[in-house]
Amino acid sequence: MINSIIRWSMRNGFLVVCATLFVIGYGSWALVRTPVDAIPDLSENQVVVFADWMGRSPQEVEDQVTYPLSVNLQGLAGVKTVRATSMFGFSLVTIIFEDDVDNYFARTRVLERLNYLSDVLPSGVTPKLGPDATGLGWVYQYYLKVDPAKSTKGGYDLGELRAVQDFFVRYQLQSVQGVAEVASIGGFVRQYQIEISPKRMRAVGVSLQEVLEAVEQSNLNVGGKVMEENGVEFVVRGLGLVNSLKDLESVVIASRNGTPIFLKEIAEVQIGGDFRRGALDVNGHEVVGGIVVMRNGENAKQVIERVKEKISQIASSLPPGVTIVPFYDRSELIDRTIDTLKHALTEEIILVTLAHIIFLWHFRSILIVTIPLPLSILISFILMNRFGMTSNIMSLSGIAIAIGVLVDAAIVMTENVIRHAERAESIKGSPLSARERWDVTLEASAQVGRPIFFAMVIIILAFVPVFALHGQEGKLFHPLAFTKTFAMIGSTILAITIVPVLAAWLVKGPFHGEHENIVMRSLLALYNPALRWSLAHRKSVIAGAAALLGMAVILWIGLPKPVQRWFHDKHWHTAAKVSAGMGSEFMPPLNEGSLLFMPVLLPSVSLTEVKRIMAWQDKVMSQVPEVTSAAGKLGRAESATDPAPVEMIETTILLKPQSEWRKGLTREKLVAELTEKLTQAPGYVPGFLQPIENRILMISTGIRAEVGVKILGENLDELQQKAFEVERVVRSVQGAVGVAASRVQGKPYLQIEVDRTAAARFGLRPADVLEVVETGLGGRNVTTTIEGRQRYPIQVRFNREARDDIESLGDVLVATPAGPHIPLGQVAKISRVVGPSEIASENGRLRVFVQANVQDRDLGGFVSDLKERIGKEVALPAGMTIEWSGQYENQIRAQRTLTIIVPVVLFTIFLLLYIVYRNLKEAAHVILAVPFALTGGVFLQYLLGYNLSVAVWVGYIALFGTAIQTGVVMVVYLEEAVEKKKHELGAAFNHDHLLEAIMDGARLRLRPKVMTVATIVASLLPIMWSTRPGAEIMKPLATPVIGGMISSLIHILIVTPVIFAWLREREMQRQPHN
Amino acid sequence: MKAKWIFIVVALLIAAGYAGWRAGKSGLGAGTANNDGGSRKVAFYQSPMHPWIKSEEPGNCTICGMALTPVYEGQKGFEVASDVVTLSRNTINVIHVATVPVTRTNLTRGLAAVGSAENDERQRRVISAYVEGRIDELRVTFPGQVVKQGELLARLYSPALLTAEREYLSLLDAPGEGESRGLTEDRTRLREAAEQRLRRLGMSPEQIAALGSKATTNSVTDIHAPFTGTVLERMAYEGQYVAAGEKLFTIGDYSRLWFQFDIYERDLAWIKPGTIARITTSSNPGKVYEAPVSFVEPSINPETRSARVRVEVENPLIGAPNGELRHELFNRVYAEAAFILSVSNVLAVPRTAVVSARAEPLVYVDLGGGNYQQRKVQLGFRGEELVEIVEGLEEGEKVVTTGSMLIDSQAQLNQQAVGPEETSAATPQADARTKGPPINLTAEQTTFLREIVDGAAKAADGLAADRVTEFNSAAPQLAERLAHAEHIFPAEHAWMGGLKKLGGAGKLKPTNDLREARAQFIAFSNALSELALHAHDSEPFKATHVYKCPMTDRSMAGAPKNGFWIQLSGPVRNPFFGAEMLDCGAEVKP
Repeated sequence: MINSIIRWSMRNGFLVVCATLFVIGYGSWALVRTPVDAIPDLSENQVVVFADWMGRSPQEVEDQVTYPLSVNLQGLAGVKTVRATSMFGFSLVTIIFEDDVDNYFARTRVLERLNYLSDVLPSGVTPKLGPDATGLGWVYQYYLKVDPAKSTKGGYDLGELRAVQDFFVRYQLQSVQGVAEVASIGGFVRQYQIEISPKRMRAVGVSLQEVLEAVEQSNLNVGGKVMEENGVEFVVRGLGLVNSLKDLESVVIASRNGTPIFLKEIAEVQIGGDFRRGALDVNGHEVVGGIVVMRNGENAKQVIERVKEKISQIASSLPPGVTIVPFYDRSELIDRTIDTLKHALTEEIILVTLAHIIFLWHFRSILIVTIPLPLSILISFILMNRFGMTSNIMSLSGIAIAIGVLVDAAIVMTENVIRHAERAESIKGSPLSARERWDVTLEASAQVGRPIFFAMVIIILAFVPVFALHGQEGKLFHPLAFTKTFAMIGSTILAITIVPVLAAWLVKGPFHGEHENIVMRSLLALYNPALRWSLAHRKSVIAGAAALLGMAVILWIGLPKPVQRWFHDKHWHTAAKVSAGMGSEFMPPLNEGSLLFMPVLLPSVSLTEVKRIMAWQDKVMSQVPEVTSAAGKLGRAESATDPAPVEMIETTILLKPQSEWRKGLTREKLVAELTEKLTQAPGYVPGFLQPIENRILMISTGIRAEVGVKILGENLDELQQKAFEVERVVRSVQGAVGVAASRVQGKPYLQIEVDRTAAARFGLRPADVLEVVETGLGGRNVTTTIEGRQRYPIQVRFNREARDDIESLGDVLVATPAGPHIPLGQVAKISRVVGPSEIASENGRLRVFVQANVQDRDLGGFVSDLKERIGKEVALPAGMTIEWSGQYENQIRAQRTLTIIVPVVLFTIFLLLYIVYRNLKEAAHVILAVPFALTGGVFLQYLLGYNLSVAVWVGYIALFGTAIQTGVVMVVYLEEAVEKKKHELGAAFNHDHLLEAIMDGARLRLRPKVMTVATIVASLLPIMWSTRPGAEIMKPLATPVIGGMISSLIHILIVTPVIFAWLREREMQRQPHN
Repeated sequence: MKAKWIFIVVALLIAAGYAGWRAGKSGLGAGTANNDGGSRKVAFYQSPMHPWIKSEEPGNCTICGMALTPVYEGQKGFEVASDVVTLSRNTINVIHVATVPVTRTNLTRGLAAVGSAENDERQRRVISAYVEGRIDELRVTFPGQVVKQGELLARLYSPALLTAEREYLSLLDAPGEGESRGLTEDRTRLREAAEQRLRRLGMSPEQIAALGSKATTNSVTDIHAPFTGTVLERMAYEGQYVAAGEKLFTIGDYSRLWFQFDIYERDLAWIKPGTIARITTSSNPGKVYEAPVSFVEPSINPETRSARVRVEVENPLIGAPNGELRHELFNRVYAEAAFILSVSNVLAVPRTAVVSARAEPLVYVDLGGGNYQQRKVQLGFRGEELVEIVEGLEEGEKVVTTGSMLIDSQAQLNQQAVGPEETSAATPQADARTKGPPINLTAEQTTFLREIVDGAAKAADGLAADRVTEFNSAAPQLAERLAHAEHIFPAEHAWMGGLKKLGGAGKLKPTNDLREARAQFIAFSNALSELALHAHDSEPFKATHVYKCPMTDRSMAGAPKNGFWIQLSGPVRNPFFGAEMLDCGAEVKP
């Protein structure tokens, strides 16, 4: 069938070229259309419901908002689990959907439920659907920079800047296509503050309720329809909106004997800052800024470009002296990463071409190789576009690591065509005619067409286990596997369509025989004696190969622990190090080119103190020469994507390009230097991340460790006790490391508890007393002014004198229904207690957990052991349940999947090999090449010091396919040579002839094999020497392939013929008379 | 052709060499980068977000996956101690740690109350009509008018009074010639009676005296102000006919004001007559009147659960700036007061020193050398700036006033790093000590103990000065003396246990190694200090001061956490650290 496709293509060259042109057009369109981002979206498929309840403690929020929300949001179509967090002043419910549920479908379902949920919530609480974005969508962050010299009055206060941000910049940027929201942070929201004096209130005899009502009813505009006069129609407007402090001051509260009591008589009216739970600081100065949140699945690069364009448009409309300055811009990272890939791709293509020239010395045929390469990349983009995938570092890496293999098919085919043409020419003795060339090409293509096709299919198949990866690994590597597969499919199709056509057109004389090529000649000069020696000393060769394999295994998994210890005791450090096996890590992090400093202070620390520390930190960091700016955010921005508490600082540190750094400074050293400087202030542990890394961390709400014991129940204190109990049990189980129980962190609470009997004596109800707490102490936004585009809340609150000192809170007066005022302390108990700073729940039940990782033990055994121990040793009271969770589920599932998939894949490959060879032994023989190919990968990985990570694994999987593919062709050649010899000699064929035939076949195979390896290695080398951002993710992928290709070269050139010879000899001995 | 080949080979070699160099540079660089900063020893690794997660090996936080931050040995602030936080000089500057000594002082606080000004109830007069009559002329036209003593208020035409006047006047005439003595006496009696009547009808003696010169056509009587004051009420109008006993005016004297304040039940205990009140009124802003409480109402208003407290003040408006005498209305003026409550001679620290973030209030005590010790305190009276410390601090100790919240955070981090089980186990060894009763000693026993104490104090002093000479001279003596303890004290003696412990600990040998000397000394010194605390009331120990340093384990390996020593006089001189941290330590009271 494949041959008929080749033949058809060659006959209909024009049609093939037309189709190719179509692919180029479509592919280019797809290339432009594909969204670009730095890394794939790793977040779970989730919908966030956010409910604000200003000023309420986590406990109140949990009981009255989070709990009813969580239980009512359960049971939607496709919901996996509902996780929730109650924090000070807001509730955040994350509804996690199955991965295959469309996010907009999910949002509609949630919205449907939210419709009738307001009944079960306290009045004033409106649950809102979070934006259709995640924290990963924080692509651009900026602040308003003020140049005092240019501003009209020497600067702006933080309230004015916040107004500019809130009412102008924010809405302008929010209108940019692809932006989900723009969250403001920092400064103060301006607010009209009515600070009433409870004492004066008492003196004039008005109650708080009266004040609230009076303010509320003094701020409105109405319409009085129309009035007619002499045929003219007038629209009637009633004006009564508050526009200034004076308007508020003259609000009348009551009238006593005809004397009006104005607000100003009992209160100070001023403009101040609203209560806030976040602040922004750049290089030690407090500023106002914003975060541009991108919608899910948008093209980050384009969105940022559009945002920047908008910013330049509105720049002139900003108040004089104010400019928008970014302190985080992801497009730089995207540009750099894409740039890295572009560079790598260009270098790869050049190197591949170079390799081609060197070995074939046929310049025209370069086109045969270089044309299908971009074509298959374009095909890959077409498919990406069709499947809705974004182009990012991972998906592009898939293409980058496939380049070598992509050209391989074309190379093999071209090489064969050239060889055939060369031979035909030498037989004919004169240049071939077009017709003859066509025939030769067809014959040569048909000969390798099938093996090439199958080899490509094998490579594609070998990558299937990557699709079995789950969780974050899956999300990270699926794009890579997809694009690689797409490109491979493209290249396979091209290899049997356009390549033969091009070959027919381009392969023309003069041909340079292998012997005329100096490289090939010298290689052959090396190879001949080596192979001869190997065939003579088979045992040594096999033993050597086995020894290498053994060595690799030791490097890989290490020797048993006692042996290592013995080495250590003997002070054989090298031996101990070598035998320790390879370390493992999840994923080498992408170097984002900027840092994120994220210390968390204790929850008891106040915003003012955190701000003080943060300003100091930012100043210290900005003084380091490599730092361009340090922008610290404490608490949360006004976005559902940012559920951070006040004590959490996230400082984005922009770094200068590495070329401008001090000599010898690495990222690690820089982080160490910063850490050193920042430990000068006590009270926190300095920790560094990177911006995207941090967003991923903030998004995930699940259990990150291998094993997580979730304890669900109703009473937080009991749960915490139980968690410590479980922690002790987990610690005692063999293999557990890093055991950690979640801790409910202490937040100081001031509890004002109504003394019901005391209150009853004055005829006071709790609501009367608590009104003072809520409005008097906390303040209440009664109404909002409407001043053109701007809106500011009007807040009523007791004055500072009455509420500033905790000790004298008891003196605050409460009005009794009978008239007299009595102090709060007389009807309520005021106490300081410690409570939770945030409360986590899952499916409506409070949750604490104990997490642990497992070392030196199989996970399944550990978990079953642990389950048994906990079942026996931990008694659970009624209402408490233990659930098991953690990455182990994924890992066990992945293991289970892999135990099915790997054999299936292996068997399929074997089947394919059998289809190629129609011979079981040969097929087995080729498969044998794999472990030897892996040895080189292991050695190189060890030399470069990479730990075992998923990326390295994926590299090995890629190597696996490639190794088989290269083996296939070798055996075909050997077979062919032996058959030919047998055919020539017939019955006279003996042992010596066999060896001779093998030598001939192997020699013949030298060029394509060396070429394949050279192109694959050449295609990956640019990745290895690149120091650009993004390369660090690809390096671990490429390392095993490069090492493996080199070892497989040796293996296939030396060991394979030896084994082949050995097999054939045994065959001949068994059938001596055949 | 040849040249082309050579060119290609050279190009290839260059390319290969470059590739190898680049790969080696970047690839190997990445592999070895983790070994940076190996010069210092890492004590442990701690998670920035979940500080209770700590590991001996580098890795990631189990909960959040963040890389653990290394904490180096000797890194200030991060050393694990249950109650002491050590900060470097740099850190102290960065967070502006300020300390003040604990002092004995008087604390004051203002208790806020509201009330109003009333006029002095004792200085209030009602002027009423003594007789019926018509008001002919009214000089007082509005309430609030200021009247001086004797000033004419009104003129009254009263037939009854007029009759009485006439009658009196007729009797006033000089006695006729022929009148008998008896008649004259009668007249005088009658005149006196008439005068009496006039007096009863409200005329003053002066008025009566002036009657003689009063014109007969003048048929009205004057009503004068009895004292200087303000007219509070006027009920009379010109031309009004008033009945006898009808109220005409009320006059109040405002030279003194009564301020009446409501004091709520829960605060009443603080207020006594004599308590100073600082009064402000909104009608006279900016002016503060200070006066003592003169009276506390004995009963409580059941509605408001408050009692009235009276403060008397000279009317501030009298003697106003322009020197004019003003007797203006000041009645029912709203007033606020702060009653100055005070306690005297108590231990006090600034309120900013107390950290109340956790269940119990804490303060941080500066031990010197950048060491801050956490103390639980019991708070007493809360003043405006200062707060009384009932328990937990000694006079003269220095407490942190700014930056204590951050120090507290660090202490919590450290405790979290230790873990809940370990902190609870780390109880100081000295806490179990109890003071024993004084015991009479024989002269021999006293001398013996005194020698031990002197030797130990001398050795400690030498070690504090980083010298071993004193230690070396004292050590053999001490060892020799202790060997004889059993001969001097009977086996059943109450201190024998302590002495035996001392003997066991005190295998003191001269040495030239300061560190070793300290290591020998600490066991001995701790045992001796224990005895000294136990027997402090007995003669040989009376003069000793026992000091404690809570971090001796940092001075030498294997030492207990708390090191005790005795000194015969202050100030504190730490023998375990010497110059390194000479002032680390606090006195322990028996």
